[in-house]
Amino acid sequence: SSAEGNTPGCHPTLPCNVLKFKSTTIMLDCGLDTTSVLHFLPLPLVHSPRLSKLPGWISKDGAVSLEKELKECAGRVFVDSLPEFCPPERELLDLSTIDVILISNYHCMMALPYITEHTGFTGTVYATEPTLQIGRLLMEELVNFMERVPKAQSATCWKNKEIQRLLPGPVKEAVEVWTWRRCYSMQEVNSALSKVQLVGYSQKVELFGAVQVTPLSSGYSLGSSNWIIQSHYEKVSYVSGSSLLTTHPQPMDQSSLKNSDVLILTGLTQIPTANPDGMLGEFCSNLAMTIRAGGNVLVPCYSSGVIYDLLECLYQFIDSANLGSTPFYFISPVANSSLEFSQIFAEWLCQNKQSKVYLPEPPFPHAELIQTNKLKHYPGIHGDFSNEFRQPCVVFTGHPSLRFGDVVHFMELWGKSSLNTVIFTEPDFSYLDALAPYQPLAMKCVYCPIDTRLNFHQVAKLLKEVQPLHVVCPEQYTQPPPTQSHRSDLMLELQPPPMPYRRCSVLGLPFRRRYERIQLLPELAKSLVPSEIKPGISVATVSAVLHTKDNKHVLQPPPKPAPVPPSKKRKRVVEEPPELVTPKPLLSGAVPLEPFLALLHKHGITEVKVEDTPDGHILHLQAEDTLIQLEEDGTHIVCDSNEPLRATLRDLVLRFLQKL
Amino acid sequence: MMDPDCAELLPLVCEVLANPDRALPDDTCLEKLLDWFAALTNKAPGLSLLELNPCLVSFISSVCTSKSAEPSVLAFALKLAGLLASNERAFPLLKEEGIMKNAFEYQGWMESSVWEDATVRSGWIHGLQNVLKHWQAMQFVLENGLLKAILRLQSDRSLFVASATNQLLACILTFPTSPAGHLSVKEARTTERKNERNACCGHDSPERNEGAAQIVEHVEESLTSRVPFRAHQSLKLIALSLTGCQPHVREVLWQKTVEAKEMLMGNGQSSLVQPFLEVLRAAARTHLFTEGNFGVVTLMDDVLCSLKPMLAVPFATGIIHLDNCPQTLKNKATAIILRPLDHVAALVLSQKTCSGVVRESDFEHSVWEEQLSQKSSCISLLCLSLSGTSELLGLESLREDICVQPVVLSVTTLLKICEGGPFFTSSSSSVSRAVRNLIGCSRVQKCVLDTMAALSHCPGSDVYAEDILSVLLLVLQNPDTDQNVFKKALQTALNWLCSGSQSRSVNSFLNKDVFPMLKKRLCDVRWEVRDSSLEFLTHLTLQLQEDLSYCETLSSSGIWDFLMALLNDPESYVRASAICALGQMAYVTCPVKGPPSGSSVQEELFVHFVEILAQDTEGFARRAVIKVFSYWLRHPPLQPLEKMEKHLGTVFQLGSDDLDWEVKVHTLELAQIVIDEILETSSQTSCPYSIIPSARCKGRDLTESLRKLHHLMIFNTLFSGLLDCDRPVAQQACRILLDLKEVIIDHTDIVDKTVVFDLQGCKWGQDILKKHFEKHSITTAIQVCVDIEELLQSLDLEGRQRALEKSSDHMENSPRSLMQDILAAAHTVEENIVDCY
Repeated sequence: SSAEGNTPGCHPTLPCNVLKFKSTTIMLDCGLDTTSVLHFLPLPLVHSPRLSKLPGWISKDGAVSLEKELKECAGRVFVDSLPEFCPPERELLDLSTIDVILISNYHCMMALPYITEHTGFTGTVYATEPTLQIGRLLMEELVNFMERVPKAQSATCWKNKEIQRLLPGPVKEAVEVWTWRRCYSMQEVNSALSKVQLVGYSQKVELFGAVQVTPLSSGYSLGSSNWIIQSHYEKVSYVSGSSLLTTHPQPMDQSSLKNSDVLILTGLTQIPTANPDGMLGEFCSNLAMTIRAGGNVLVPCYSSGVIYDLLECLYQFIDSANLGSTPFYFISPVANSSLEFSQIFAEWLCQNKQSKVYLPEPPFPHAELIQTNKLKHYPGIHGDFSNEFRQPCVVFTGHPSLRFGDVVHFMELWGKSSLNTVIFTEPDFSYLDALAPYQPLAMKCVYCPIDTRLNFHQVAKLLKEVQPLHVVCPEQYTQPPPTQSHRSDLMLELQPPPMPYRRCSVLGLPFRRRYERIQLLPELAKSLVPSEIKPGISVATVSAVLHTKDNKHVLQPPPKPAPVPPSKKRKRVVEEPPELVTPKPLLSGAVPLEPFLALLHKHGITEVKVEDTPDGHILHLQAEDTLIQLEEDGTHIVCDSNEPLRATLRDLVLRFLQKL
Repeated sequence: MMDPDCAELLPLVCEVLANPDRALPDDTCLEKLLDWFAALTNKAPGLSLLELNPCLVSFISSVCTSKSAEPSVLAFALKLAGLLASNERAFPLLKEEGIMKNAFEYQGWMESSVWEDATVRSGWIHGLQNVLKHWQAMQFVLENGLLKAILRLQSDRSLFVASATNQLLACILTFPTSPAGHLSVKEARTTERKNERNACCGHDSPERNEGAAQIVEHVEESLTSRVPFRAHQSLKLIALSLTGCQPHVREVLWQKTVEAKEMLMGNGQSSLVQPFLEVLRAAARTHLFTEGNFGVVTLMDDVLCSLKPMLAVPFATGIIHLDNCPQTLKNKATAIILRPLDHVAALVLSQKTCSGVVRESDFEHSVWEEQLSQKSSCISLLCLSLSGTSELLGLESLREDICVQPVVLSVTTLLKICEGGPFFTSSSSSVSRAVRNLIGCSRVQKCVLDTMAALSHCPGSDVYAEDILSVLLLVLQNPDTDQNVFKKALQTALNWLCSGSQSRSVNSFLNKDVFPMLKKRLCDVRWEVRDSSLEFLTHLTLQLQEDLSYCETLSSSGIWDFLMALLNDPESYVRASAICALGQMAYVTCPVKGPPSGSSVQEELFVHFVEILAQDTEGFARRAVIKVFSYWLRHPPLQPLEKMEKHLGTVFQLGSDDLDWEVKVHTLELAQIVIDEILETSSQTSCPYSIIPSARCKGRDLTESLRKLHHLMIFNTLFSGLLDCDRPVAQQACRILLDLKEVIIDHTDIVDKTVVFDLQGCKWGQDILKKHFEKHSITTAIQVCVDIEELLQSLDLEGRQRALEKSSDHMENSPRSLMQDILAAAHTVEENIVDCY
């Protein structure tokens, strides 16, 4: 009857955990680790002579040659194949046993098709509406990026353990490459998303009557949520990707997290030393500096999320920095939908933006940027964009890994000039690794990671406020970052210490379930005769049938004694109603020593020797050679074969006790 | 002397004040009246004030004897009595009239219920303090047993009374033994004062000795009383009087303090530690400090080692400023100041101490460790230590004693820690845990930067310039740096960049690190950061303008375009700073890209700035424009003035029509420079603003110059300035016109002094020329021809200057106005009462 957590995913900001609690199996988030794509060559939209001329890799001794599969660029080796992702672990547990999947934000659902499709999964996925819609956009974009640049064959030889061991650099260290998978198809996306059931904040969802799950606003992105998973007597909070900063989404609901037995903490900021405000300022000044010097700015980004805040910040900055005449382009297959969706999810926005809707005004100022032609969006670089493209300009486009999407084209186009700047704002990828296949690069590179998720200081404050009994978190949060081992302020320090987990670990959660709630039917309740044993506490005996279905327990009145069966058919044992015997009354109370001795005396028992024991007294009736043992929870009369005496003594004892 | 109007009003005012039913306009009026009387008693000789205004005596007498006087009026009367009696000749008169008795005799007051009011007690004390200016007054205090009462008030429940009493007691203890201190030589010579003079000569006067003894005895009792407040007050008194009292009293007071030391210092937690340290500081400024047998130095030494760090550091900072301080004590104080810095540096350098002056055995290590391991005390202690270090470095006499290198090491380390840089983690001490609280702590950062700035002035410090500048660059590049810290870091960097002698390495640092950083900061989202960056650039250019390689580096940096863009910044402060920076930069560099028209960069910028002067909606930018023009005109090498002449007229027109008075004042300053230039005198005078015509200046030249000034709209500017409703503008214009008038009058040989004014749209024309027209019966026309000398003479510039010198509120602040207010308020209340019934 204990709870248990499994961890098929390993990325603390793209979590994938499984919680077994009260006979339900709940998957918490379904994040996809996309950092694997950094080992692959970029997929150019138009033929790139540079990439196609890269030499194939041959080991130094010439023994291993994977010229077709591996290419060398600036001293590093890249796989020349469609990029692949590292899906959550599937060997650890049978995915068909998962009852539900709870999604906390659209970045944490990208592995959904790998879990729900072709695995026998029959459960339900719960998510808020913006999470579903924007998640769909991101998946659609990913599929689109991959499908529009098809590659005939995929590289597999390099994955051979024996061969991988011989490869140089980062490719050699890549883990579990044999589990890497190609991107899913649109059909799989649709099928996976059809299993999503929409929920609203604070909506209580019953799972098989055993537990109740509730999403709470987490303040990180549109529709992002933390989850409460509770039974009548236990409460587990799942905190993932939360933010206390004032950005566009509804603020984080902290108070509902109080009184948790266990709080599972994931999705903290990936760059704890970078303050989002400072980074936003840095982003703006680098952008202005480049434009003033006549260069172009490339911002590799996701098509939803931080981009809304970037555009809002630029909206204010454009005029003050005299950038009014500079064109801003947003290029993504889903650019239009992303910009429009953000405007229609009013109820999921912060108060400030919600109130704009009633004016009525669009909640995000990017609407005005579009209206005034300062921001233009296109599905791709072909078509309208190529006609209207003006330089110097600012381009927002994906994918932030620089391995696929329109961004590859701009990297090839602008990489040669030192006037241009690429500004990294997404923290998911190491910018140096992202840039590796583009070396040598003249373009300036600026790293301004903007991660609004909780930092350690905010987490410490939050935990102090909500006071969970136990905290469970990824192992990474319990020690300072490896590159800054002196920063003991960049880790969780709690009392009791948090329980760390790592990929594929199974953890027993530190609470035992002790109670179940049982319902009494009204007619049964009516028949009870409570008697008060202490002021305010009454007790009654119940005789009933316990009926359990869907994890709900009901006490029903016992069936009436069956009438005499008309015929002597064969009885079925299971249907035999239990034999009804009037139960003996239950006794309660204590036997006070002095009055009891007085009573014995009155009944002629005078020679009593009292001995104190740790639990009560032993009365030795010397004349009768009988012992009476008075203890807190029992009375024993030891007398040899003098039944009348025993009965008398029993009655005397009973006089002091209450009968129920 | 009191002017007749006031003398007339005074009796009425006294009457109002003496009447408890009359209200006062506000509670400051009595203070203002007292100030006025204090000024009068300082000015008026002897008796005259009392003799001429008998109402004063009767006022004091009636208030002091009245049972129902307002406490505030009563306190006023007591203070006034004190003021009047401070005059040596008036004192006997007041004594005869019984005023002294009425006002200051303690017994009478004790029985009165008004004594319960702290205002009255405070008035009594202040009155006595006012009166204690001569020996007769002192005798009055001693003979009438007032000292006892004063001593009792030293621990009065009102802190104001208790504190004033301490001042009075200090006044008594430090009362000069020689009459010269208070009596003028003339007065002392008069025969009738001889006796008193004799009486006050020397410290042998028995009353005085007895009085001092009484105070000392009281002090001793208080120090050993175990009543903290009493001991506190007495320590304060000792600190106040130690430097000024007679040597034998000083020695006794010191003796008493030393005897009570254990009790006072307790375990260092006592509230008496602070006043005890004040006594030590006072003693250090007397002969007790230099004469070894009093043990002041030893005591200070002991105290320094036993104090809690938060008290020790400021105390040590006080010690380093002492004259005649023994070297050992100074060394110890220096060690204390540097100690927290040492501690932090040790975290990184894994060695215990760096400054090498601290002997571990002298200190209780654990106490310091404990203080540094808590967040708030760690930050406060480091800030104290840093500001103490800055002071140390500022003292020339001490600079040689300090080894600069460890200080540089400590401050750079500390700044790196604040930036989140690595520190020594193998020591898992509590201090290293506390030090992580310093990450991003702007309070510590500011203090470190101050100390770094102080370090730049130390001789031989330039070898550390590179280290310091590289750490400063970290701060400047960090996007999370607070804007105030950023500004301070720039100021500190400026100190180091300008103090360095190796201009080559400085230039490479500027080119490689500073200018790229500045370019980014000039595009910062925060206007404060943009503004500070511009100010830095302006100052740097000003400081290094002689350095040719700097000018070349600046020209090729590409920063010019960034500055030009900032002329359109939405924030007016930034626009103003951009104007100053461009003005400075145009002056020293020739930007790579010259404007196409062939005119100079400076001229192009001039035209652009004139546009800003005409169009910018904020005063800051317009002020900056005029200031830049002034700078350009005042400093050679300069483009010949003629080239800008066609625009200068517009500048003066715009500047004098501006709505901002500061723009107008700056325009007048610019006018002054142009006048000097035109009259060819500026280079020959020591003061740039005075106009003394050179011998070379011929009448004909002057005629030409006058025409030129007129052509440049300078007369226009001056006349409209003269009529301006803002006093500084009118004053400035008046001053320039007076100088000009002098020049013109001095030159009788001027051929033609007439100028033609166009009256259309001329705001000042009507006023200024009206009198002139009337005098010459010229009819109003659109254009008038005026003799400028006659015009200047008709204006009564001298009279105007006198009028302008008085502050605009001189009428409201006059005693007459004050008394009228008092009378008016009393009258209004009376009317209201009549209305009510």
